[in-house]
Amino acid sequence: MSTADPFGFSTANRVAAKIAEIEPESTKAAPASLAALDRVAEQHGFQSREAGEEKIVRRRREVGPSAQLNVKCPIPVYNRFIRFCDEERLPYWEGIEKLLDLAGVSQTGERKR
Amino acid sequence: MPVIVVANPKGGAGKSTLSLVLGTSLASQGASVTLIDCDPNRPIVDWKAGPSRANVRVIGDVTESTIISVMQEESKARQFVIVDLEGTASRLVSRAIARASLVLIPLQGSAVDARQASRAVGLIREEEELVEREIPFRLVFTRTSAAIPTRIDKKIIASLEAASIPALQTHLHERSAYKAMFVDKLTLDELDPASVNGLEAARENAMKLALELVSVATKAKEAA
Repeated sequence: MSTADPFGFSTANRVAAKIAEIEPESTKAAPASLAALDRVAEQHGFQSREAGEEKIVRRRREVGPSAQLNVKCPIPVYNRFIRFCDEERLPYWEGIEKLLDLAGVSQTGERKR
Repeated sequence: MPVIVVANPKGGAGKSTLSLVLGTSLASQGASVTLIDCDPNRPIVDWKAGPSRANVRVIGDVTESTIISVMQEESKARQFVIVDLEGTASRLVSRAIARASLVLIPLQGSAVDARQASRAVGLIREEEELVEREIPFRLVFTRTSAAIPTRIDKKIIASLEAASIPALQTHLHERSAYKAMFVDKLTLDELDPASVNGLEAARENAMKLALELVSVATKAKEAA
């Protein structure tokens, strides 16, 4: 690189000659959407490693007054209920709400039949 | 074809060394070069903080949401933009590849490197369909012996040839001069031959690699 090369035979000189032909150009703008690109990347295991993007917001918690409900129940019923909430990944009160919904009990306590 | 992306999801494959060697060699021959350092360890940003007077612009602090616009912006004004990616399979890597004019995949002669390199090739091939253009890529062997290729090297080269995976003929050899660049934060031209072994051989190797790269990038036929 730094050695004298008056006749221009060196590799460095050939590199310099080729560089002179190169002009800046814009990168190829891809027509694909970023979302589609990211989906393909994820299929190949190339996932986002940055925090703060696409965070899944936890479902809305109930606001307003609440009351305590203590229930004494037979162990098998207890086990069924805990297992149900575990499998559905629900807090107990949401488990009760879901069972009420399934039973067709409306917000006002009426039963749809 | 100025935007060259250096990618291999495996760490330690030689991405930063290859990026710095190519970038500084091209700059030494008068090219305008920007190096975009996406490695979380910021080796090239760190290098730029040293005494080197090389005419290269170094950009760090790039995120997956800014990478494409930075590449786009730099390529408008610079002859070569070289993107040194992180050694992981990330969204940033995939986005950079989608906008590259050439992807270089460095690999050492090891099974782990080769497997991760093939992962990058798989991604490139699928991205090609999506962006509806060819994304040219070349594998580059790094840290190979200048004297004799090992049996493992030969085996990997043969398997690439069998699979028609294109690779650069020139390897980036194992040279202490390349390590010295990062330690002394200088270019190969600036290093002192008295304190670095095999410096002249490293310079010649770097220039040969730069020549092949420019030839590939311009698709010009290089007379042997």
